[in-house]
Amino acid sequence: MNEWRKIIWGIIFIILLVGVIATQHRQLEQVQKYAPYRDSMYLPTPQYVKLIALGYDMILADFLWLRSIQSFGAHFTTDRDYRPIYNLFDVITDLDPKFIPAYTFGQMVIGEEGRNHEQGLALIDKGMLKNPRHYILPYWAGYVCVWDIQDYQRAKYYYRQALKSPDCPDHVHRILSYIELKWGRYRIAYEKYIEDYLRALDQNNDVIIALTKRRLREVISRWYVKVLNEAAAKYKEKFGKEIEKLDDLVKEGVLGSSQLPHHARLLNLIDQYERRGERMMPYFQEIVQKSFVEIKGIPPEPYGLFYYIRPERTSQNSDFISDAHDIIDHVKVLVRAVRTDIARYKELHGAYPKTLDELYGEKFKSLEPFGGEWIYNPNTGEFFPSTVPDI
Amino acid sequence: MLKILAIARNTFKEAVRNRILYILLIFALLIMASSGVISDLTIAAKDKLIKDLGLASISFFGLLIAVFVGIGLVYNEMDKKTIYTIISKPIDRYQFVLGKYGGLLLTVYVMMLIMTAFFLFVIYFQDLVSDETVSAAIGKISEQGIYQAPTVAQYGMYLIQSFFVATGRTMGTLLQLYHSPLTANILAVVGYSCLELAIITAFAILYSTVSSPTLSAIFTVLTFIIGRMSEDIIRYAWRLNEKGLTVALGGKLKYWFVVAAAHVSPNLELFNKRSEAIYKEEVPWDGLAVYYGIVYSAMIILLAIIVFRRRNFK
Repeated sequence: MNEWRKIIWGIIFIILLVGVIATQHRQLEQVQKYAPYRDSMYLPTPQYVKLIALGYDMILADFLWLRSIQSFGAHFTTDRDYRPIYNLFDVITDLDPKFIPAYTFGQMVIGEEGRNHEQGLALIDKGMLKNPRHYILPYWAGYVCVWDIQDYQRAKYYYRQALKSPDCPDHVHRILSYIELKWGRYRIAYEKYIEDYLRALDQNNDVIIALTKRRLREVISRWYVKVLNEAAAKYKEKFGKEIEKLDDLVKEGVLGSSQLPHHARLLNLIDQYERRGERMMPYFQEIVQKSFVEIKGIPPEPYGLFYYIRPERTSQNSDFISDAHDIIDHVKVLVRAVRTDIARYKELHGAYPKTLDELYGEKFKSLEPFGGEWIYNPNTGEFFPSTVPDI
Repeated sequence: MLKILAIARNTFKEAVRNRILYILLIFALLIMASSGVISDLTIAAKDKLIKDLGLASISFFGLLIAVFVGIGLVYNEMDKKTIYTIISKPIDRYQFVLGKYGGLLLTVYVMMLIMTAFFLFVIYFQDLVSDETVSAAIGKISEQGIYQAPTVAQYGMYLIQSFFVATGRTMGTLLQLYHSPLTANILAVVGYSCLELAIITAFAILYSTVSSPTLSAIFTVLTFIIGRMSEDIIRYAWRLNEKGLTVALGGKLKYWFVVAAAHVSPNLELFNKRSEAIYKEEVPWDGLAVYYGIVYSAMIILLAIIVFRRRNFK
């Protein structure tokens, strides 16, 4: 009798268990369909959460951290409105102020994804106050200022803060130089890159030597272009029309002589000092000063290419003159693509197309970027821009 | 001394027969074992999550063990009348209380040792079976430079091997044969938690001498809460002062009462070194915390002895 009772109780238990599982399964399906996540908008303020954590602050911060990731994922795949999870990061970073990923991820969610950069940077500022010896937070904020909001002044502040940390990597110095370059402060960028270059020479760091060498040439090139554009603007002001030839700048006297750095001279100087076998950094000021020369007329293009008058000005770029180096790589890609198409055409049809329009079945619209024209020979299949025939 | 040890040994034997001890232990071990799964949900700070979870579990379940095992120790002796047999023997009451305290503390510490060993094992094992370690240990790069994942059999063998390596390292750590900054930090945190639990256990014994297990449990948990908030209590006093609420007599009395409460209540935050263990290279030696833990526990046990001596069992 007792045995039967046990079996009946067991069966009842199993029936109830099946009922519970079936009901729960149905509920979970509904949750998946209509409410893939629950927001944490009504989380109390950090002080209260800290109070009720009873010393288990870090584990509670971890729990909220996981929740913030889930919540972010849910919003990312649905409405992309992250405002309901903003306060999660505030609470997490109050519970565990040293939890660096919470600041950086929070900034990404609030600033980059939520397009609320000020609030995102405020979170990083909070992290910097609580973790003054970590370079990663100001470094991260500097990145946001350069790439997302283009506030170079602020970026410089953050990178300088990062440099104060003992664990700050060396390349932050070069980022600061790059900001000066992007900002158009060529003199400062130039000096900073020379400093980086000399330091790299002292440390025998070949990678940095190659990198800063490349950047130095870029700074000089942009500096020259700036000087030329200032002269072109003067020309327009004086004659009421845009320049047609670069020589006009010299002929009409709008481009005089100026003290500018000379790329080849700089490299020679560095080479000379290096041969002495001493540390280079003490000669920094000397090298900088000696690298400047008086340049009359059009400065020599540092890449061995040329300057060209831009056919049109846009809202993004209102310059009159550019350095061919800036777009030469793009031109190379275009020329290579057209040459491939010509070769493929010949393979298919047994002969080269008569014109480029025939090749593409419509008018070949690409303009020759340096103001010349595209040269195409239907007999040999040759294709090149008239201004750079040996590209 | 021998009498105290005899009572402590008996208390330990009695405590380890308590089923709730094993339920709590199993829960703690399950949570620690699941840390690997939980850490898979994160996008960063995986190691931190595993350590946080393990250290918090050791502290929290240690507390629960101290509370649920400790609260009935003295009361049950009185309830079952076995206390008469004991006090009729040539045993002083202070020896009885000290023996009970020692036995309970030993039980709590043994459980913490098991949890710590398991936690160390989880850390070592997680480290050995992480994707990077497995790739480096048994993955291969083909001649074409393509990574080839290990076979199921190779992986199975590696898991078994990792199990033994992790077990060996755990034993080595506990026997001080295997050292790493991480394990030294973990052991330091557990050490400070032991001091914290010495205070909580002393309170559990004190309450057990004067009230029922349910009330003792409530009082002990409340003591723990107050202890973890003692720094907030003194902040409240400072706040009263800052806001100028201590000018009137009522305000002054309130202020001094709060200040006194902050000084008398156990400052358990002093023993919370988990943040240092996670973020610092070394958990700094805190002599003040050690001194405070020992003195405070002794004071509460003395109080328990005084209360117990005054009890009339007629």
